[in-house]
Amino acid sequence: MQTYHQLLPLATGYFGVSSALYDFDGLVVIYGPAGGAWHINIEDEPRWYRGPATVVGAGILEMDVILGNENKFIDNIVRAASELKRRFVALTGTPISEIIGTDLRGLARMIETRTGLPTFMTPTAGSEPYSQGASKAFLALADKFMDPHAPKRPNGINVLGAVHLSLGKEAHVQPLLDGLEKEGFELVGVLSAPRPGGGDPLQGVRDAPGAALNLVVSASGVDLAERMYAQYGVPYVTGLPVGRYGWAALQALLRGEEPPQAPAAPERTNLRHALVIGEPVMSEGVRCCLRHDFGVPAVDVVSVQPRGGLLQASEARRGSLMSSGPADAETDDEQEIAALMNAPDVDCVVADPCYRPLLEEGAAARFIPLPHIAMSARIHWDLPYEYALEAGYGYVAEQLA
Amino acid sequence: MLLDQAGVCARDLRRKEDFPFAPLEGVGPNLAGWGVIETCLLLPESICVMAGPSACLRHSAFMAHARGFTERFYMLCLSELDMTMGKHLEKVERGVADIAARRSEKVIFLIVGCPDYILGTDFTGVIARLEQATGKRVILGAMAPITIGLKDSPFTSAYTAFFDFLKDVPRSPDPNTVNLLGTFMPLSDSGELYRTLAAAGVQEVLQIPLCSTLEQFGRMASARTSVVLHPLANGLNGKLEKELGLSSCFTPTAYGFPTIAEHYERISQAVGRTLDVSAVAEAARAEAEPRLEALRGKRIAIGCSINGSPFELAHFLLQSGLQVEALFARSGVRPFEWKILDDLRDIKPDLMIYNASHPALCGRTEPFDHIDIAYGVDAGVFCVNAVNVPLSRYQEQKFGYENTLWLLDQTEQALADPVSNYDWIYRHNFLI
Repeated sequence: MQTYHQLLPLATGYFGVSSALYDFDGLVVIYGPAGGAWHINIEDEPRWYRGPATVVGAGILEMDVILGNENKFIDNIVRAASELKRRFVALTGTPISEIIGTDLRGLARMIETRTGLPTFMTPTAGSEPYSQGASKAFLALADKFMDPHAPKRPNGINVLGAVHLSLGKEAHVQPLLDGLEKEGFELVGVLSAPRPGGGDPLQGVRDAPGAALNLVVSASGVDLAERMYAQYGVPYVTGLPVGRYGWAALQALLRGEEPPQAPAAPERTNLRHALVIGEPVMSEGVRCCLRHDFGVPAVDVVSVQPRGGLLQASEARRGSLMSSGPADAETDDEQEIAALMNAPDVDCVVADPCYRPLLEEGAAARFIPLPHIAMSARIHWDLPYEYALEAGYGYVAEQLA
Repeated sequence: MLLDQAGVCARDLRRKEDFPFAPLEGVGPNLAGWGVIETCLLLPESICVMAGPSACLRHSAFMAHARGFTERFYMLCLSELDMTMGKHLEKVERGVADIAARRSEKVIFLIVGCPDYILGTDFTGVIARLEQATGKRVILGAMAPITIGLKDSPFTSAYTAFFDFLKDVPRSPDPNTVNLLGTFMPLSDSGELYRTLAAAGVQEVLQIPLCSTLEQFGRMASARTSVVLHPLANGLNGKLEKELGLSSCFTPTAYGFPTIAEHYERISQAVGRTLDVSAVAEAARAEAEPRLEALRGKRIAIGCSINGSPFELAHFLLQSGLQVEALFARSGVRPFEWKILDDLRDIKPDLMIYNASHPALCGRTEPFDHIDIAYGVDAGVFCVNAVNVPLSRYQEQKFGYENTLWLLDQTEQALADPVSNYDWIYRHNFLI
């Protein structure tokens, strides 16, 4: 059991489902009491603002749990989904559906039969990491919509795991997408940021099996990448390029080459030991930037989401920017993170601003804010920051100046 | 989905069942101020520990950050499996004991959520042992939206629980003291009500947000009367009335002159003294009339996130000759609002009243493009071209005729120097 006082507990499974599916014009039903969906929209989904009904709550009450009024909810969902003209329905579990053992799969089948809309469920509760929820949503989306016969695109690439809880606003990811296109890649599917201009936001998902390569940019994209290799033979590369060297290394990996030598004389700072706290792929990108672009000799990563699949050997992975240092940690425990931040030799912390109060009074460590939306959501959504490619280099340089 | 499904004309809203039914919770901006933690922490010398799955705790953590009470708020994360198996009781007990050991406060609110409510977890033993071990009072509460409509809301229950700290205190009844209940912020210092009561010999007005110790809070048990400004306090007030014999009156925050006059009359009866507000009322009327006149021709929408009743505000503005076009309500009409609605129906039977959480309303802004002024941040979400006047209870708490003038101040300020609805929600946190 973890105790939180200064920090917010990180977003969990069904928040991840919402993050993964939000932009695909579906109806995501949080199968729990009122309030749960409300909070996701108001706090964790700034995309909600003045948008159509996307994440909605079932509004389960005590008597519904006791009496098992599933038919009432099926009727309500069928009515709303049909009249709102959404492209699909996703049922996602909450602590209540987990505890009472709601048969979400059965409910999904009944809704699909009655509406004729593609319907699926994601088995989430209220305690698992958000990246797992997003991952389950991607797999369900793939099962429902990916076209095994999609036309092959030799230069096609999918970007997997681009969820706002990990990467923030789409504008922050844009330099990477632009960079890929400039390198000659054709963007096929970006999960979860449908490309502007297209009529059907699910087209990229349908076409994704035709791509030649997947790029996994957060932990929530790994399972789908593995699945796509098993089913469609599409290999993947893992990494989120922050700064200059990271981008050069990723470009090489995407071409099937070895990453170039790190610059012999990077920019110099006085920093000796940095700690990066956040999503594992993003944090690894920041480590790479601090080390190779700015010459920080020691950089440790505190991954607040499980790294499992990112580090395991895989036949499907063609290359990876991920690494594992001896002093890296995998924890979202407030006390453990506070202890790591206040270690005497740590002179720089890169993390969401919500972690700043954990630095003890008088601590000398420099704090570089890098919002992690799964931590601070709307609180730091609008903060000016960058990470990808040259924009990321510029942001870090400005912070270190 | 047709927008019509989300709204009803005032003429057709006569019973609870007439309010538009939302087939799913469409997540309109309609739950502002629904904070059990915030309510608990109104009690001085208290901390709050919430236990449950991370997802549930995260919701409350946002409120703690937005309102700045993280210092007195702790969260214990539990897994659903532990809860189902009953293995969490020991962990909660240990967690609360650890927190209690490093805090000096005398009261701990232990708040659990829907899962424990559904599982029927019995915390009696945990609480008894914790009270014995820590020497502190431990009060169990719930942040359980699964109980909506069936029981008192969680924050009403929490507020009512404050009675435990009043029922046994030594009392020395003071006829010159009045309690003000149901406020999160203290009444503003300018305080028309303070002056009016003082002129009638009421020397002290006690308010929970101004009590810094339990001892100060305990003095409320000795007051003559309780004036209730929000239905949240009805439970606590009922106990003070029934068990300690305090007189009381219900005078929810209002904007209209007739309602305010009626409220002063109620207070007068409850405290047993004549309150002379004629000069204040006359001055306010004289000041307000030209300012209301200046708003003539503006088209207005009113939401339920305002401090007070949207029906009462709509009624006052319509009576003043202004043009109210839409009203956004939460879960229907509250008991005290039906009478206001009856009058409202006579003045403007075609006034549209929307269920702000109806999914058909989400993203529908074009029907409200013509609105010039939107009161409440929830109304502001739908009224894209309107200036937004939040009238939030997190801005100021006013009472009486000065509240009418504050409404006009806020409106004029918004017209002269508008703040976007987005900023009210995301920078000023007026939606949670």
